[in-house]
Amino acid sequence: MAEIASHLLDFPPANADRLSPEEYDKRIKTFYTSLANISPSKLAAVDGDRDLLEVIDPTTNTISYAFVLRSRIESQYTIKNKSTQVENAIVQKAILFLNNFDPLQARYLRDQLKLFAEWLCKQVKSRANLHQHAVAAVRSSILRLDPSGGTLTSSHHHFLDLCLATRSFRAALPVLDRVVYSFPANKATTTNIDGRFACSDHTDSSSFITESSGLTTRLDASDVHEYYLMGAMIYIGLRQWKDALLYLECVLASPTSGQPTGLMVEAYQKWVLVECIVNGRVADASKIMNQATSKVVKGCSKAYDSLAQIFARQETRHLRAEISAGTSIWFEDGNSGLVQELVTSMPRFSVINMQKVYSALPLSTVAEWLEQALDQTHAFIENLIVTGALNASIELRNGPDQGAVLRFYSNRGSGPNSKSEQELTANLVEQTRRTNEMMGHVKLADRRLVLTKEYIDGLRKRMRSKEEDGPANMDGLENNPEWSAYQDEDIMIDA
Amino acid sequence: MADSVLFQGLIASGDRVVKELPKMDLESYISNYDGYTKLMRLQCIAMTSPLLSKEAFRIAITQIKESATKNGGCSDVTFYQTLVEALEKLSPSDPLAYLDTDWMEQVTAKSARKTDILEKELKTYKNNLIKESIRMGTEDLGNHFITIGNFGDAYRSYNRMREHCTTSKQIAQMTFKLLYLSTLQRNWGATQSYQLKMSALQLPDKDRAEYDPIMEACSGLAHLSQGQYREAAIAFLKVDQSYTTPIKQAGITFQREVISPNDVAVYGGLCALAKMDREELQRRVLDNSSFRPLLELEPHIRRAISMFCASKYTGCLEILESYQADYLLDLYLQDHFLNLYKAVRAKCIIQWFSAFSVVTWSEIEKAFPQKLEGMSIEDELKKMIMEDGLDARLDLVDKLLICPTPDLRITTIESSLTTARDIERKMRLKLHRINMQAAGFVVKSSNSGGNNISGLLLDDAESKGNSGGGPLSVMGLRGANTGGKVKRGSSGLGFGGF
Repeated sequence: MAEIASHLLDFPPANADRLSPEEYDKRIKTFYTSLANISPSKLAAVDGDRDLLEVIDPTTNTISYAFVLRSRIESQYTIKNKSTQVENAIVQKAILFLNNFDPLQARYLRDQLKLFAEWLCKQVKSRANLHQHAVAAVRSSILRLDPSGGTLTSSHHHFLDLCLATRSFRAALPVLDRVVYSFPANKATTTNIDGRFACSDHTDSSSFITESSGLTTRLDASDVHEYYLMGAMIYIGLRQWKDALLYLECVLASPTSGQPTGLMVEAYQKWVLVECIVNGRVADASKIMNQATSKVVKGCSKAYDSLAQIFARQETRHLRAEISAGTSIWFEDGNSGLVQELVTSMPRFSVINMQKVYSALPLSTVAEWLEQALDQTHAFIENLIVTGALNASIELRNGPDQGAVLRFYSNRGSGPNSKSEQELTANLVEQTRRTNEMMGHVKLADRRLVLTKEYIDGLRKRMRSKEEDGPANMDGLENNPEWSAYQDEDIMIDA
Repeated sequence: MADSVLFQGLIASGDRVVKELPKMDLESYISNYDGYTKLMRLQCIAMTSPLLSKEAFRIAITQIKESATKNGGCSDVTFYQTLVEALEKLSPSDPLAYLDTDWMEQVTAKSARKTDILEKELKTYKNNLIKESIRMGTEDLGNHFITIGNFGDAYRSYNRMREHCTTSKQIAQMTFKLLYLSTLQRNWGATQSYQLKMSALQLPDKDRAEYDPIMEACSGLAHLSQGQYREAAIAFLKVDQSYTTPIKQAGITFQREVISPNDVAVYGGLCALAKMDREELQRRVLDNSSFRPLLELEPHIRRAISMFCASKYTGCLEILESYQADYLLDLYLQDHFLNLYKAVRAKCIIQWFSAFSVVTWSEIEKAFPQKLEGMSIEDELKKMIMEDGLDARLDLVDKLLICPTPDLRITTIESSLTTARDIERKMRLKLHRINMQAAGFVVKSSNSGGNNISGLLLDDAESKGNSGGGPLSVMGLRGANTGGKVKRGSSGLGFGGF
């Protein structure tokens, strides 16, 4: 008994920091196997003897802690008379663990991490007081394991599900705002470029989060669609329309062989509505998705397309009529809220269109065109100006029967929402940074693709077919130092 | 005459009625035309101008009766009937305003007899299997059908000629027949397609030179009638000066029976004025040596164009206004003249405004007095800003037209920011797509793919129950399950969130 207890503290050894990745990898794997060999009943017995989770520190002894925690959770399944108190205690421990585990050791856990996240999500739904903590814990487990948040895992999925169920939208943002740039491949590809040990420093988190690592369950296309759709819904809930649009587009843009799934249809319907809210009209969907797919999807969403057309034509009454006529459709698709949002965002586009034609006009005229009361229009336009959607001002004039005047500024350099060149330059710099960051992801993706079997086969074929040209235009090899050395050599021979 | 039953009816149904007296002299104007075009033009004038109506009807009715004697007693009885009935409404006391039923019966009988004879002849030719006679027989039958106003059968006859044509010249002749027919039927899409057919034929240069002006004139007419003014202008401007000398093609003088050289000048000039900029007008119209002789037929159009080029906008518009009545009585131009005029006016105002940064509306009204159709200056300017590319803003408070003065540096930075954002978004989507593909996440279409979609849309619960189905359908059905789940979530959003 005591042996087991002390064995749990065997890893990490005191000199863990100084171990080479190879050594560390070997040690931790041995340790893991030795723990896996201890029969669960024995472990439970030791645990029953003495509260092991009080002894073990989740940060130092992550692996041991995970084993014990798992055995506790599993014991819950067999007990018939569950006591809420015990269960609550385990939930607290799980939250503690997810917040504090050691990211490096966690890479060696097989399925514990994702199990804890999943279990926690399930447990917490009925415990309102723990929602906030659980959401934070699952989030931290995702971001601790992979600070870049770049590889999609099944925990991401559970996390968003939990956020939606508990309506903690804002808490989801740290995860949603990170760009997912790779997926755990379901094919056994050797894409880990930075060494084959999980404990090495990896630039690309998908090299240690793979299906075989057990850190995520096997995903497929519909999981990815679901993740993005849920993400989009959270953004919609927060009224971050542009981000929602991007997430919906991620669903639409995913590769298909012609037939879309139901999730894509749903994404398309929401996309049409959000596109109206953001841009006032719907862009050509076939530019985002492939043509055959867009045809099928459009066929299923005629009501939405016609709604968008009416919206683009700014026909307020027609829009209202159409919305009330289709109430049951919007309700069944769960889009009632979004559709109502169309009505409120329509006047915004009317006013924005006005500035293309007018430089100044009496507020009473605007109110007449918008079919609103004067005070309402005043407040509405002031709101637009304050939120920065409109560069205009409302002038109050002296004198009898002279109403307020709405004055637009065609020049971004003047008016209340004017921007100085410095501000804009700062924006540009920020944009450049984002683009460069994206370039990094592109390079990573490129590197992964270069290592796939298909690419190498293709490359070999091309090499064979035009031996004399040489692989001078092979993408992905451009930055390879060896290749450039080869070219240099060539030039020298010529000279 | 404007208070006659005919015009009251026309006014009530919202048709165009031109009360001004046009500059033209009806007799000399109509003597430029022959055949159906003459009748149609007369009918058009008769139904539009109360002042000329009676005279136009008289000429038209006499014309139909005369043509019967020329054509061996055959004529278009239906057309005659329409004209007489209309004249009866205009002036019941007119000696021509009663139906000459004897004559009608006579003509109908004669026409039917001739149709029979021609059909029989054709049959004999067919039995003899001589291509040339069959072709001519079919052509005669087609011509006869046109004479009696049966355009549908005429079209069928002419179309049948195709298989009996042996030379490209014959095909060209047949195409001319069909072209003529299509202008009579106002089937403008067909008119344009014949031009393509003609250009595909192998023809000697001499013939080509003769045919091309006709084809261009007809295609211009087709574009004009379809409201494609710029294309019409380009086509009309290609018409060579040789068009001024009428030549019969396939028994049809297009210059007299479809569109006269004067018409080409007017239509072409107006379309060009409406849709081309100053430099183009100078180069393609005024300095165009092959079109210039045509333009000289209508010197006022040339004057209007020169004035526009010389920035004398008021003068240019005045010319157009003074000919308004004439153009509104023109068979092909009447539906388009106002559009063209408005386009010219808009162009004039835009050109004129380009020299100012702020102008009061009253100033604009002074420079361009409103003479046609009561449209307020505000609506007119608004339309110009939205449709004609006038780069200006309206100030409804002080009644000003203001030229915007954007800060170019800031505009440039802003536009580059927008582009950069757009590219970032596109790049992200592409990357996402590639990554999904690389990870093997491709939505597979299965045989039950079609069912998937319809099943999903019909009922979530049903597909949920099926989730134990075959491996192929699992993906789609999983979509359905989660779809159901997601949907509930979003309905929650719909009611609680907002």
